[in-house]
Amino acid sequence: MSDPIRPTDPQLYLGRVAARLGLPPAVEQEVVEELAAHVADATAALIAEGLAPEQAEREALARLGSPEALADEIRRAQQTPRRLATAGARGVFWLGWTGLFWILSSFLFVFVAQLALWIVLGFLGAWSGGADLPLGQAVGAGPYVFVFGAGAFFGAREAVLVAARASRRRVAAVGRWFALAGAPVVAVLALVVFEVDLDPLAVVGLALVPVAFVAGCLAGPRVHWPAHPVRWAAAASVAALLLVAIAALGGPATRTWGSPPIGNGMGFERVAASLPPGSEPLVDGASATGSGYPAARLSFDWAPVVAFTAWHDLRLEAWRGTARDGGIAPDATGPYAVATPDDTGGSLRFTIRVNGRPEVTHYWLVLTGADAAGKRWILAPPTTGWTSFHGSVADWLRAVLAPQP
Amino acid sequence: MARGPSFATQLLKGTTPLLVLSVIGEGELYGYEIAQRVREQSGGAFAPSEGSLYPALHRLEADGALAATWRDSDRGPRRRYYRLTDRGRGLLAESRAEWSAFVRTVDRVAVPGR
Repeated sequence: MSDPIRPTDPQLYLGRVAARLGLPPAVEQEVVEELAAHVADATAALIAEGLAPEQAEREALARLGSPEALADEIRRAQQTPRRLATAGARGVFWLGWTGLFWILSSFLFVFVAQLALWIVLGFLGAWSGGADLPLGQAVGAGPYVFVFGAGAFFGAREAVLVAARASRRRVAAVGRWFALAGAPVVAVLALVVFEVDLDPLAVVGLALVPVAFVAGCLAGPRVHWPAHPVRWAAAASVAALLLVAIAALGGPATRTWGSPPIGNGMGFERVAASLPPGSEPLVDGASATGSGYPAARLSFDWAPVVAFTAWHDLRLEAWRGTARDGGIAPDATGPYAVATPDDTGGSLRFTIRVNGRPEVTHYWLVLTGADAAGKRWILAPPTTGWTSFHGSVADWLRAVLAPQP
Repeated sequence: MARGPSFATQLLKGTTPLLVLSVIGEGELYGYEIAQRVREQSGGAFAPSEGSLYPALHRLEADGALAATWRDSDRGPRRRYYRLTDRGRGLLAESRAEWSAFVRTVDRVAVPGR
């Protein structure tokens, strides 16, 4: 009578070994094939010794012992600490290498797509360069959404596949471990460490990087990509289509460059008094020069200094603007940043931070001063420019949650 | 009282890697051949449990002592042939030295006057 615990049929025996192994499918297949060849050899030898075929098969399987115990021993032999350590190191290396490869390659294609888009839309007059417009945001945020997301996804996927092969573990199990261990690290890198010019779409894009990493960890070999040239062409097309689609939502916009005259309808008349009637502007706004863009600060020099003594409490105010109507933002009731003169000896220099607020994509700078009665007047034509928030996503969130000035 | 595994079986368990490395040191062999070679060279005294042979082979391969190659066969299915690597040759030399020292030490205690 056959032992119910140990199957006497080779297929059944090997099936139970395979079910218990818990190794990557390719390795499992090799183990089973090797054992099948052994059973065949042993059976043939026992038949040659005079045993009946069925008896010889039973004896050959009996010599291998319990299928479960054999599978456990082979799994332990395959999954050694040495292989695990090697797999971890190789996984991290491939994560970095593949991720970087994807990021750099994708940047190249996105850059080309952006350039094409910029030229076409510029030619059609639809390009405003306004960072507060969907087109500006698309061009600004597109690379982060696409490039870093792709780098995280494919870097993670490759790392998991390499580590699974090297450690002789199943892809799903290795992927879960990579996701658990790597997602916090990737989240910190993408959201806290990485600093860049941000707008809302870029923030969303960077926030999706850890999600892409986890998706890459769990994707495994199910995600296949065609050969390289086709892959890059597809990537560039997707990026370009994404940008065009978002840009199409924005449509053309108007914006005002340079320094319009005081009281020009830019909205200041709503919130502040212009130069008193009959007075000349202190300086020509066109003489103002900015430096440092897109760094945190801009310096403006007014030279030569004219008749400051008539005014006191001089200050440079930064007002939130909008590209769509060219003026200050309709809901702006006061400057979001104010600077007093750094030095009044021979020139008037202000240093003001114009990019400290996430909601500010365009700014207006205006020189104001108070008269003897304490009334504040605009003393020079305002000047405008566009900017973006520079920092990490965490900085951006902190700024959003901070009380408004 | 239940009888445990025989003394020879217990000894054989610990010496399986040494026996496997020794016979593979003579040339490339596949699993079944290795078991047969050990049996033949021991005059039938040792027959390593075939259930422990494959885990031992896979462990030695994972440690880099053995390298394996699949080869087609004229007589039946393709087989996985094992051969010693440089690391395996070093391990074999080390294991042999350890075994000789171990036998001498056991002899001094278990077979006095020998």
